[in-house]
Formats: sequence, structure tokens, C-alpha cells
Amino acid sequence: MKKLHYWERYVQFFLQKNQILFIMKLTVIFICLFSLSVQATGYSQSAKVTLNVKDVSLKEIFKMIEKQTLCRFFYNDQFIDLNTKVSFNANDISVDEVLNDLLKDANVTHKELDNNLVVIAPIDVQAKNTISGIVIDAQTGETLPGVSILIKGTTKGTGTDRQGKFSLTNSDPNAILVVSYMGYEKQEIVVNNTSQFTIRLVASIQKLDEVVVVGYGTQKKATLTGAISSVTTREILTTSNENIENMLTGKLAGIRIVQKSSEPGAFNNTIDIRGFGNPLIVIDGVPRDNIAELDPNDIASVSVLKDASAAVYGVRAANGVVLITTNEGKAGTLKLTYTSSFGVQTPSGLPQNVGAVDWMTLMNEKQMHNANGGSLAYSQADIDQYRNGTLQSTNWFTPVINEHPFQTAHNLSASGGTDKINYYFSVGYMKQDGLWKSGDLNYDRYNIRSNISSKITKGLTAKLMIGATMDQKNQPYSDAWSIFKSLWRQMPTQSVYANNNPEYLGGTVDGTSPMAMSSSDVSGYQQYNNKWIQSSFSLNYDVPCITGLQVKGLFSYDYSMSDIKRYRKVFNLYSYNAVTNIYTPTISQAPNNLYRYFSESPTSLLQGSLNYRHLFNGVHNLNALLLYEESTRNGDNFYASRDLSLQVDQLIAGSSLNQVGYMNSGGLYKLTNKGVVGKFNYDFKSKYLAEFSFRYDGSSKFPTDKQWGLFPAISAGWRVSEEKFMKENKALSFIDNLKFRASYGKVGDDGASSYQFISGYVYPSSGSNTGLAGGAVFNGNFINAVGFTNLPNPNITWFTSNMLNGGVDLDMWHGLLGVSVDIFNRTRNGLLATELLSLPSSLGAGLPQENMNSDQTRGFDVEVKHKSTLGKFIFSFDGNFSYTRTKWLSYIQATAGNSYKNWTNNLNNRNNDIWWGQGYDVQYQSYASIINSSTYVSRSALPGDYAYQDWNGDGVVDGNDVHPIAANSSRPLINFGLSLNVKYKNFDLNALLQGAAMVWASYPEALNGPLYFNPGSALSQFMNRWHPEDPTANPYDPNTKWVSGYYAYTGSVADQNSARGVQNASYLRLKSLEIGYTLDKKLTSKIGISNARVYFNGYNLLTFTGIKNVDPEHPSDTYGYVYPLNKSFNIGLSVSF
Amino acid sequence: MKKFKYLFLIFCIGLLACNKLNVPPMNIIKDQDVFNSVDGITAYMAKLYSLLPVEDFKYSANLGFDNWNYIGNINSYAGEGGGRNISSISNGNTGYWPSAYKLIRQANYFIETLPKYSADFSNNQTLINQWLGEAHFIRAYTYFALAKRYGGVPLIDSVQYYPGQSLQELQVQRNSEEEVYNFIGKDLDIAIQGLGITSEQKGRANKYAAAALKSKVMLFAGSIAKYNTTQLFDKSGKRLLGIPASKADTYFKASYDASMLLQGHYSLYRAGNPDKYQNYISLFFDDNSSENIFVKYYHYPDVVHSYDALCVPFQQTGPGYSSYMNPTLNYVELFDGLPKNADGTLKTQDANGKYVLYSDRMGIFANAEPRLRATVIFPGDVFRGQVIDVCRGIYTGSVTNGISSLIPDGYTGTYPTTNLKTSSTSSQTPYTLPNGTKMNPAGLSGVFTGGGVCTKTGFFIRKYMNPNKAQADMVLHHSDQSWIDMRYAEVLLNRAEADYELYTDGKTDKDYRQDAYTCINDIRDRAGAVLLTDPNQLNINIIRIERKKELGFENKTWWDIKRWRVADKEINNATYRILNPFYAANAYAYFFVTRLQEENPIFTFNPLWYYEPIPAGELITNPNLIQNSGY
Repeated sequence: MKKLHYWERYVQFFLQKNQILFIMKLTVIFICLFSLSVQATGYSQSAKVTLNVKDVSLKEIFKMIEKQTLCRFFYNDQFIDLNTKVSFNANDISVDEVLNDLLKDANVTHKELDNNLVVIAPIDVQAKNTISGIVIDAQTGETLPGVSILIKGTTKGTGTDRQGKFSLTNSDPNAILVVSYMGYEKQEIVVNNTSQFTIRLVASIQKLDEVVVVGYGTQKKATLTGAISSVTTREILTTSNENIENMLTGKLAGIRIVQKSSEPGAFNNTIDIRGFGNPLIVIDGVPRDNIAELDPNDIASVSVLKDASAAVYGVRAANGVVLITTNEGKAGTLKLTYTSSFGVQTPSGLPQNVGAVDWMTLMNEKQMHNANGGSLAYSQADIDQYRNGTLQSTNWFTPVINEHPFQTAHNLSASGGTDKINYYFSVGYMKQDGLWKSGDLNYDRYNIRSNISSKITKGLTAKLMIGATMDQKNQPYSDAWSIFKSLWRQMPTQSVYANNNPEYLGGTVDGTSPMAMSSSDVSGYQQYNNKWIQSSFSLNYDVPCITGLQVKGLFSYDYSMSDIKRYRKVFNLYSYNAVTNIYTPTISQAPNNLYRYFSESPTSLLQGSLNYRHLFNGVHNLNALLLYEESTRNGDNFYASRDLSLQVDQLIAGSSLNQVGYMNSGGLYKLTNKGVVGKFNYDFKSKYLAEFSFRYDGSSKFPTDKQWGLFPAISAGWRVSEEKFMKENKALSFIDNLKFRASYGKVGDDGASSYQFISGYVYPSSGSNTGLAGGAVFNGNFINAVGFTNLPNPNITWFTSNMLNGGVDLDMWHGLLGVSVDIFNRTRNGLLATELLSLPSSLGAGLPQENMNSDQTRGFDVEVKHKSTLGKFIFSFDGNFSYTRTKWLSYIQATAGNSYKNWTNNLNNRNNDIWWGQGYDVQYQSYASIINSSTYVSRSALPGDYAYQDWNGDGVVDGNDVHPIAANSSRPLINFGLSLNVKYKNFDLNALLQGAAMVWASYPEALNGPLYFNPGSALSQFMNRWHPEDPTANPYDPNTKWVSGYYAYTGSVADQNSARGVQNASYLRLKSLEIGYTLDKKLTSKIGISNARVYFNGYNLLTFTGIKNVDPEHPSDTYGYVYPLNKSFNIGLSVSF
Repeated sequence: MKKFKYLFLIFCIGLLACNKLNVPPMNIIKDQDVFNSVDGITAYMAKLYSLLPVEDFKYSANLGFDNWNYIGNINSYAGEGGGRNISSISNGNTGYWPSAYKLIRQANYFIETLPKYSADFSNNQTLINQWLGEAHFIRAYTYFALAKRYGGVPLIDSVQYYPGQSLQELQVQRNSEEEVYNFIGKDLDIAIQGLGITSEQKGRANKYAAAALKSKVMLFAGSIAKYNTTQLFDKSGKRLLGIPASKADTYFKASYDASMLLQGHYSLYRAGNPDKYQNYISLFFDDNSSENIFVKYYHYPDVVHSYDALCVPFQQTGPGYSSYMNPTLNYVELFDGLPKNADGTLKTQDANGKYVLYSDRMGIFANAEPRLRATVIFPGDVFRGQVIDVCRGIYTGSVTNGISSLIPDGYTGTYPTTNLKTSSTSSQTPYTLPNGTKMNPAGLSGVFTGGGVCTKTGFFIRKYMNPNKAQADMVLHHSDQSWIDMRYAEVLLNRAEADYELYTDGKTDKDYRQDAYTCINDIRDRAGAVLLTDPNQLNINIIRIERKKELGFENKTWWDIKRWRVADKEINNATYRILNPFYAANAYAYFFVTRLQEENPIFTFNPLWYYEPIPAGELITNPNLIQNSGY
């Protein structure tokens, strides 16, 4: 037996001795009362025998054990020791103990291999001519069990054990070892008198035997007929980020992921498949939505169903499905892994404000920019005070922003198992700090996971998967966007503190102080707590009489809750009067107020299925599934707020004035879905592949007679490379795999619908206290009003998608090149729309949605793979490129008044993302170019102003010159990524180049021009502008000399919807770079460490883009004040025991 | 083994314990839950009233109804107020059309549905009629909001259905402007008939609210008939814009009659304070005012506005917004009690052209009409216990021979920099006066030359500003004073105007001029203004100016100058006048400079704007609609 480390012993001890407790816990957790019998160690330890023998040879005892158990012995008859006669009496003890006892004096040893094989070998012989070693994955360093090791030209060989170790007696020093393992490239090694080997196997690119997670099951990649992209944990973890969605960016063909912000805890991303819209996320077989909050270390694989293969998810699958599976234990001894990383972040593209001199210059320009006659706001003397240091310009970023916030992540996992039970446990912790110097913006997350499966009895496996996440986001009372807005607005001539006295916060010019807003101590805080508990219990029964038939039942119960607390605290901002030497306070945010919000959403899901898998005559491979599924989703919530009489951040401190107790009626729901799924896979010799599936699906969102629908899909594949003419053709022998695929299916979408078949009233009516109120004040009290629902549509139903996909997979030269190409076409019919555009509004009612419009999304995905070794270098490249675009096929609308409007308004048979705007020529270069302009120019025009195209040539630039200038899809139409992996000795390098094209952005307000607010500051980029050489010169004097710049003269801003305002946001970036070093195993193994790796990881290190001043992914949401994206630099450590 | 299999079986059967797919939504209620109780009716009414197009603290000319942002309000458009964010005006079109028809449908639905449930109210016909009257009031109010913007609009008096009615039926043509006003008049007659003399609840209409509305609508219709020159006819010859002049007196008479219905039931507010200045201030805060006819109430925090925050002087900001609307000197100069030049402008210089010096800035306003002081905060006046400190700068030049004009009349450029100390921001560097005391160059509430938040005209608004609000509450969304949509003073002014129009048109069945005289003097007496001594002194202009003075900053003048069709004359290439107080360092006294607004905005009212364009989308969905002239 291998020597156990103390902690391994402890865990094994725990598992053995605490079985009862363990069982009790399981029993309590599940309503189904099972009494589980769990064995957690090797077979020879668990298999019990009863022996009462006298004077029999060891060999005979072996035969007796073989009769009582599944153990099989391997030995050489010639070992004399085995003929020794012994006597033995024991009842119900383990084989292991029997052997230990029997062989303790003999000159042999025993060792258990996989498949219950016990090898008996003489000790001395084994030691003498033995070559031994360990086989590991070249990429990950993980040990590989069950690898076949043969001496070339003989039948002599062995396999590696669970620790990946092997030993082999050998007499020929020139023998060649042939090492082969499924999914890896075969290797031959010359023994050459070496006795100790570390063999690194390289995963084969073909991965034909790789198993991919598909809807309601798994399938060999070789026989897939659908368009499915997948990545495994190893590929995911090469990027280091707080959000797993960002770790997938650029790695999956056809998946568009846009990161909009790096605000801790915001997880402000959009993800879609082929431009289809929000996909269904399925985690461990259950639709769940907290993908961003998962611990990436827990994820085993991510598969994306991009075509009709999603149809088994019926009415929720129209946008494709992302399938996530979490880790499960593998048979083998306990493996403990600890990973941790520490890093700093820095904003990626965060414009800064101008200083006082520049600001005053811009202010002067803005006031001079008046065709009626301008004036200077600041005299040269005013400006000189800042130039010569009499007055100090204020840099507002310094006191507010911490340019290098910290982040860290840790995960500890334990996994292992026996043939009876497998387990995976993990705990994770993640922390990310935000950009405020106060430290009051941060995010913490704790994840725990316990995935256990156990063979309860013959043929019956129980599986319990529990994951829990708890997170907390802390932030100051003000949201990040409002702080950036305030920060960008603060003038450099204003000081942070009144009279520069740190006791008195200043900032009454626009009433805000980013100092106060970014500090919880000053202005209060917001706290967002979320908890998710996700559990599923399943039983899988192999029906004994029919080989290949499985019955499975699954029950899942998820519970998530959200708890929000907002504490608004009163604080003072001061203004200083130098005459009276008085600091006058102005009270902000009065009165103190506390707001609490609580919501919960429990979800349950039941599944029962029959699965039949059989290979007939060795050629007809059939896999059939029939499944019933039912799920219920509930949502409930309430909130309360009180003004506080005491400055204590609890509701109990509230006064009775202005109490609010209420709920968000949108968060109150109960939804039920039911469905029957059938799926039939057939392949002939893995050559001709076919799949048919259907789902008969029901949704509670529709009227009784419209609830159910049938969603069928069909797909087929042909592996040409399996045909004789290919296999026997030498010229084509470089082709390892060539497969053609096609799929077609129909799926539904009930996402957008909300009881529009019912007429009535909403109570209370929605409204806003600051805008249109949801009620009226009668007799001094606010009376809630009824809200009118839209006119009912009794015929409303889901809309349907028809998904068509064609693909080809080609693998050549044993991994040197793999190419996969898919083209797709999705048409959707019955998209919800209102007749609003064609019915007169004098009807006076909100119109119901009807299933009227249709659209079409088309595009392609390409994946290219390369893998090779060059000496000790192991290379691999994975590239992907995808394009998608959607157009309306039909769009209900009315005919416009004139042909131009008809043309611009028409949406039929036209891309749905056209950005209409003014064309742009140049900036006017001189007064002459303004005067000589062929179009009408307003009298306020100046050199440097933006000249828009007179597109229709009528001499006037106006609304009639608007034409398509870009695509306004907010997400890139083209996405691509290239992963590069290099491994050399103990070093490894992973780089991900990722990019997007055909994407445009336009920014408003402070990002569009200087001095947007009055009063307010300007971003420094706007100093690059047209302006008179002499800052006091009248810009309307034709003799004024101008200095050219990128932007127009202060006061002229670009039209946001023009070719000038709309910027090309295409980009290419080094999304991640990881350099790792694995410590020498010889050294680390001495202290019980099987693998130790240190690494550096960088995120968003380099970006190449045409967009100015901000990150290309920075959204224009909330007027562009969104918290910026970040770059991060991390060092990390991963240790396995 | 066996027990596992049984348990497994149970587990599988458990799967069949199905949930139902027919899950009703949890937050939708039905007609019978609404129309069967007083509370249900009240909730319905709350909806109708919340949608009522009341042009209050939340109405702006560029953002429409129910928007906290009062900055682009119609007072600024009408020339009463200005501010640093108002540099141009537009036709005020915010596309109200579709919202109006939503409310009209809901009123129609109420009118059609309520009678079906009369049994639930013991067939109490008085109660039913009262509610129906309220619905007719609301419908009339809404059609008036449409008519004054668009002229003739489609009249829809019953609930339309889709699907159910054909597209052609729904594409209703415009009625004539005259038909619309007649329809409103009829609706209001029903309301006057059905409604009781007191409202069911404060905040809802009674008989007199309907009558007051009628006096206002009919006066509007009469003005259109008399003064409008825009014409638009449809193919059948129906006049969509304008009313035949011959109908003017019918409407004026209807207005007069409606006004008379309130006689004896309402009176001008005099109970607040014997001091006329204080009384006029209280008028806008006394919930029991004898003058309030129809009031829109607010209630913090359920439904709020931001009037205080937006209009408060800078030195009392809460903090954040302030000084967004400042009364123009043009508005102030409408009033009596100020030193005036011959042309009616404020007199700030003596006969020698030297500035008159005042030791207190209020000196120039010493005899100002109490109503003006209650409407406008003067520089140096007291508001919320503080002197509102407005000063453009310190004049450091010699004063021995008096101070001559700093700038010529009509000058649009900047002040000369010699002999002047000013401040660009509110962080000021004090100036030391000859006697050694220090003084800030600009007042605490401005004027700051660097474009900062401060008054741009020298004045702040006083009317409706809550004098008792804590400074911390001078922030957005913290105001809840009620908006007096119709008060008796307006009815008196309607009556005086209708009187005088009837008098001018030669109607002699009553002594209309005498009646107008009585009304005007009633208002002037309460205002503390100089009374007219003889009906002969009256002319239409005096009545109109009285209306502007009395109803200033109540969002009414914009519509008045439109219905009189004088807006294009009053606002023609106009830059408004402002008042700049300066402190003469060597005289230790203030003087005042009147000039055009320093930012040089130029305002012009395009005569097209007497009608707003029908929103373009409406023309597409209803090809039977004809766009208004000129658009």
C-alpha cells in the first residue's frame, strides 16, 4: 500500500468512521428516505470474505476469494511461496486484511490495480529488473490512471494505477515502451537502461472520444450532429477574472460576450449565442441563472447548444442554451487542490478632467462662441493666478480614485472516490475592491459545493449535488455612475474642502461632492446581499433485465434571495465666506433614511426519464431518451423604508413619518412549465449519424388553449473519413476525420410574454413619485390608482424559431490542423409586436402584443485548431471567428407620409441594427471653406466645426440627409479569439487574443464635448481642439488665426448620430496572458505535494482600437458614466496534494 | 435491494404530482372588483386625476407633463422668467396627443361602465351622476388640453375596440375647432349639473371647478374666434383651425355666465394676514383658502415635485439645483410702485444721468406693490430669514461727481473691467473697502461671471416658494406644496376680460364694463395695487396686464399671449432686460444698472406656433388626419 499522508488518513478515517453521520445528513437533506451504505475505499478493502481453511495453499485461497468476490488474482505459478500451506479462520473480513495477514511472511507482495485485479509478485524480482514511472498530462501535469504501457513487439505490458504510476519487469535494456491512452497521442520511448520514467502525454487534438455535454445527456464528439461548442475547466481557467463570463470571452465560436463594466459585484455583461438574445443557462441539468456568481474552479465544462440541438429545451430555447456542468469526483485517492491568486486592477480607459488653466481657457472659448457677441469669463489675470502658482488647480481624481484596487480569489477542493462513491467538495472565496479611495466599494463572494454520487446498490446510483453561493456588494450610497458624473463635473477651480480646510467638505457648486459620495462614512451606503442554494438529487437505475435501459429521476430545488439595504446619511457640504470667515453648511441628503428590500425566488424542477442505449450487432448504435419535466418558478418580494429619527442604520431607528412598505409587483409571479422530451440518436458504425428529438412543451404564460406546443428537431451527419474509399486512399491518409453535419429544428420562446390575454387592471398602478404618479392625493392622502392593462389578445402565444445549421469538421495530420465550420440561419415568426405603429393612438388604449413580426439571423462560425510539439515545446492554437447579423423579414408598420420617410422608416427585409445618421465630411478648415460651402451654413459656424454631408444634395443639411452610417447592434457583429498555449519543460504560457469588429459606439454628455454641464468641467481630451491662436481673439473675426485640432472649437459638439459622433469600436486585445511555472515534482513530492504551480496572469493587458479615450467596450449606458472596465495583474499559486 | 426499488418507484410516481399550468397572474384585477365599491371608484378616479393634464410644477415646454425638470417651463417661454439654461424657445410641442386619448378612453370607459354597476350603490342616482359629472369634467379638461394645442381634433366620446372595430372606423377625422369647444362646453354642462357643491374629496372637482373651467375654456374659444388668423380646412370644407369671428361673443357670453356661477361661493383670499404682502404669500399655502377652486395636491414622499430646489436662491441651495428660473426685469416693470422712466422702464439714474445711490438695495423697491414683492424676490429682500444677497460687482471708481453710465442703453457686450471687481465663482476673494472692511465682490447668490449657478436677472421667484422649508429640503423631489390650478382670481380675470370683450363688441344687455371694473378693482385691492377710479380708465390692455401680474409664474401667460395672438409681437427678436446691483466702494452704497441679459439669448416666437404640429406618428397611423398649417 502506498504510504498515506496524515491528512489523507484523516479524510479516509472520517469517511469510514463517520458513515453513519454522513448517511444521516444525507437522509435529513432529502425527503426521500433512503438508507445509504457507503464504502469509500478500494475494492479489496471493501470486499468481504469468510474463510475457514486448514492447510491449503495460498493459490487455493486465492481461488476461494475469487469465488466469493469480484477480485481476480494475477501471479506466476512458479513462485514457490504460493504453494505454502496455511490455515486461516476469519469471518467477514476484507480481502485486503486477508492478504496482508497471509502474505506477511511470504516473499511476495500484493497490489490492487483497476478492475479489481490483484497482482501478486515476488518482492526481490520486482525490485531487480523493474522499470517504473509515472504518466502525466503534458499540459496540466495531472497524473493519468489506466494508461496502457506495452513493450514493443511483445504482448508484455501493464497499465498505470490510480496515481498514474506503473512498473514493469523487463530484461531488455533496448526495449521500446509504447505508451497509449485514449484521447492522447501515442508515444514510444526507448528504455535505454533507464529505470525511472516520467512520461508526458500530449492530448490529441481530435478528441474524437471526448465526451461533450449535450441537452439531457452526454455524447461522443465524434458522433455529434449538432453545432455545439464546448470548453473545459482547463481552457476556462487560463483567464483570470471575477466573472466566469469574461473567462469564456473569445474561447467559444459563436458566443458573443460583452463586458460593460468592471464594477465589483455588478457583473455587467451581456452574453448571447450567435446574436440570438439571452440564452437559457442550464447548470447541472437545471435552468439556473447565476452563471456570473459561480466559482470558476468548480466548473468542469461549458457546452453551448447553438442550433436545433437546443430544441429539447422547448419553449425556452429559442436563443440557444449554455450548459454548465460542475466537477464531480473521479475514482482515485483523495486529491486536494488549493488555488489562490492576488492581483491589482487598474482602469482601462478612464478620461480625466482638465486643470484650472485649461478649464478657464475652454470657458472663455465657450463664452466667446456666440455669434451675437461673446465675452471672456476669465481675464488673463485670473488665469495667471493658476499659472504662477498663486492658486492651486484641484485634481479631483487624486482624493477620490484609487488607481490600483486589490482583488484576490481562493479555492480549496477535495475530490476522489471509489467505485462505490465519488465526491467533490470545494469552498471558494473571492474579493474585489473598487476604485474609490475610501475602500467602500467592494465585493465578497463565498461558494461551497458538494457533489456526491454513490452506488447505493446494484444498478442504482444516487447523486446529490449542492451548491451554495453567498455574496455581498458594498458601495457608498451613491451609485458609481453618479460619482463619475460628479467627478467629471467638478471644476478644477473649486477646492475639495472649503477654504482648503479638511474639516469642511466643499462642493456646493453643483451640489455634489465626489468625496462625500464615494465615502460610506460621510454619505451612507448600499449593501446588496444575495444567496443562492441550488440542490438536486437524482437516482439512476440500470434496469437489470434489459441491458442499456436506465430509469432516472431527478428532483431539484433552488432557492435564491436578495436582501438590499440602503442607508442614506445626512452630511454637510460647506461654503466659505472669506469676509465673515464663516463656513456655511448646506445639509445634503436629509433626512436620514433607511431602505430595506427583500426578495426570494424558489424554483423546483422534477424530471423522470427512460434512457436506452444499445449497440446492435456491433454496428447499429442506438440511444433513446424519453423524459418528462416540470418546473415551477416563484417570485415574491417586499420593501420598506423609513426616515430615521436617530442616526442609526436600522429600521428600528425610524420615525413614523414617511414610512413606506410596499412591493415590486413585477417581482411577484408564479410560472409553471411542463414538457415531454424525446430524443433518439442512431449511428451506423459511427459513420452515418442521425438524431431526432422533440419536446412537447407547456407554459403557464398563455391562455389555456394556447399553452402547449410541439418542438421537433432533426439532424444528421456523415463521417466521410470512416468510408472505405477514404480510409484506403493513401493520398487522403492525412485526413483523420471528416464529417458533414446538418440540423433543423423548431423552438419556442415564451420569455417576452406576460398574460396579455387577460383584461383588467393592475393594482396598484405603476408610477413614479418624481414623474407621472401612480395615484393621486385626495383629502391629504396618497390614493393608489388602478392601472389599465392593454387591450387583451386572446390569441397570444410564444413565437417560434426555426433553426437551420450546416457544418463540417475536418481534422488532419494528427492534430496539426483541425477546422470546423458552421453556417446557420434562424428565422423567427410570430414575434411580439403591437399594432401601435399602424393604429391611430386616438383609440386610447395600450395595444396588446400580437404574434406578428418575423426576423432572420444568419451567420457563420469557424474554429481552427493546431497542436504540435517541437522538441520540448508543446504548442497549441485555438482560433475562432464568428459573424452574425439579424434582419427583419416582416415588420408591422404603417406607410409613412413621403417616400423618403417611407424608406427610412421601413424595416421590412432589412437589417434590424441600422444606425441612421448624418454623413460626415471634414471639419471646416477655414473661414473660406465655410463661406464657400455648397450647403447652407448657419451664421454661428466657425473653422473646426463639423461639416456634415448634404447627402441628398438639396443644399441643406437637415433631417432628410439621414442615411445608414453604421450598425447599431450594441454588440459586435464579428467576434474572434485566438488562444495560444505553449509548454516548455516546467514553463507554460497561455495567451488569448480577442477582438471584435463591426461594432460602433457613440457617447453623449461629458464624453461628447467639453463643459457639457453649466457649471461643470471638461475632460482633458477636448483640449485637442480648434481654437484661435490668440485666446482673446474674436472667433468671428475673419482675420483670426486658428490652430487646428481633433475636436471643434469649444461649444460645437459632434452630432451623436453622425458619422463623426459614431465611432468604430472594433478592437483587438490581449485579453489574457498567463505564464506559469510548475515546480519540480521530485522536490515537491517530498513534502507531499503532487503538483505545484505558480503563475502570473494579466487581463486586458493591451488593447488596439480606433475608439478615443475610453475602452472599446465601454457602453454609452447611463450617458457613458458607467464604471470603467479594468486591466488586472494577478499572481497565483495552485497546489495539489 | 427491494426496498430501494420501491422507494425508487415512489420517487418516480412523485414526479406525476403535477403542478397546474393554469396559473392566474397574481396582480391583475377585474371590473367587478373596481366598480362595486366607493374605494374602487376612488382608485379609478385616482387614475383619472393623476393623468389629468395639469400644467403645474412638473410641466415644461420641452419635456411635457409630469417631469420633475421645471427648467424649460412655459413661464420662461412667455418672457416672465429667464435663466442660464434658456437660450431659445420652441413651439412647445411635446407630443401630448396620444396621452390625451388614453385619458379620454378611460373617462369614456368609466362613463359607459359605471351605470352597469349602479345597483352596487343602491341605485343612488345622485351619487352616480356626481361620478359621471367628474368623468365629464376630466374629459372636458383633456379635450381643452388638446384643443389649445392642436385646434380641431377627432372627438371620440365612446370606447373604441380593437380588434372588433375596423381600421377605417378607428381612423377618425378631425372635428372642427368650433365643434371641439362646443363639445367641451356640453361636457362641462353635464359636470356642472351632476357634481355637488363640494368635492367628494379634496383634490377632486366640484360643480364650481367645472364652472371655472368652462369660464376659462369659453374665454379661450372666444379669443380664438376674435383674434385668430390661421385657417385650415379639410376636403369637405370643415374648418379645422379657427372659429368664425361671428361666434366670438357667444363664447365670451358663455364664459361670463360660467364665471357668474361662482359668484357668492368663492372670494379672493384676504383672511391670511392684514398685511397685503404677507397675505398674498399665504394665498398659495392656505389649504382652506376661499379662493381655491381646483387644486392638485402633492404629498411627500408619494408624489413630489422639485419647485423649491429649482427656484431657490443660490445661497440657500439644499445643495444642488438652484436659481434655474429668474423673473425678468420686463415682468417686474409691469407693476406699479417703482421709480419709472417715461417709457415705463425702471429708473435708476437721476436727471444728470448719474446712478441713484441706495444705502440698502431695497431702497429702490420701497414702494413696490405688495403683490410684486410676494411674487418676486428683489435683490436685498429677505427670504426665509436671510437677506438674499445679489450683487453684480464692486465699483471701485470715484464717486465724487456721481457715477455715470457703465454701459450705454441696449448694449449687449461685457462691462468694462476698469473700476470693477467681480467674481467668477461663489468662492470669492474679498475686496477691502476704503474703510478697511472686507466685502465679497459678488453677492452670495450671484452674480458670478464664470457661468456659475446664480441669478441671471437679479431676481428670484417668490410665488409658491415654501418659506418654511428647511434648507436641507431645498433639493430635488422634496417639495409637496399644492398647485392651485384654478383660483377665483383667474375667474374674476376671465370675467373681466369677457365683460370687456362683450362691451367692446357692443353688447349692452348688461353693464359689462362696470362689471369688469369691479372685478379688476377687487383684484387690485387684494394685491395692494393702485385702484382704478373710473370704469373709463379701463382698456383691454389694462385687463391683460392685470392678468399677467396676478397670474405670473402660474404657467398661464404663455397660453394667454397665444390666444390673444400677440406672442409673435411680444417675443420678436427679444432679449429680456435684467437688473444688476453694484456696490460703489467709495460711496458705501448700491446703484442699479438695467441692461439686456448678458448671455445675449435671442427669443423669437414664430406665428406658426399658435398651433402645435400634430405628432408625425399620428399622421402615419391615421391618414385621415390633416397636419396643421405650416408644419
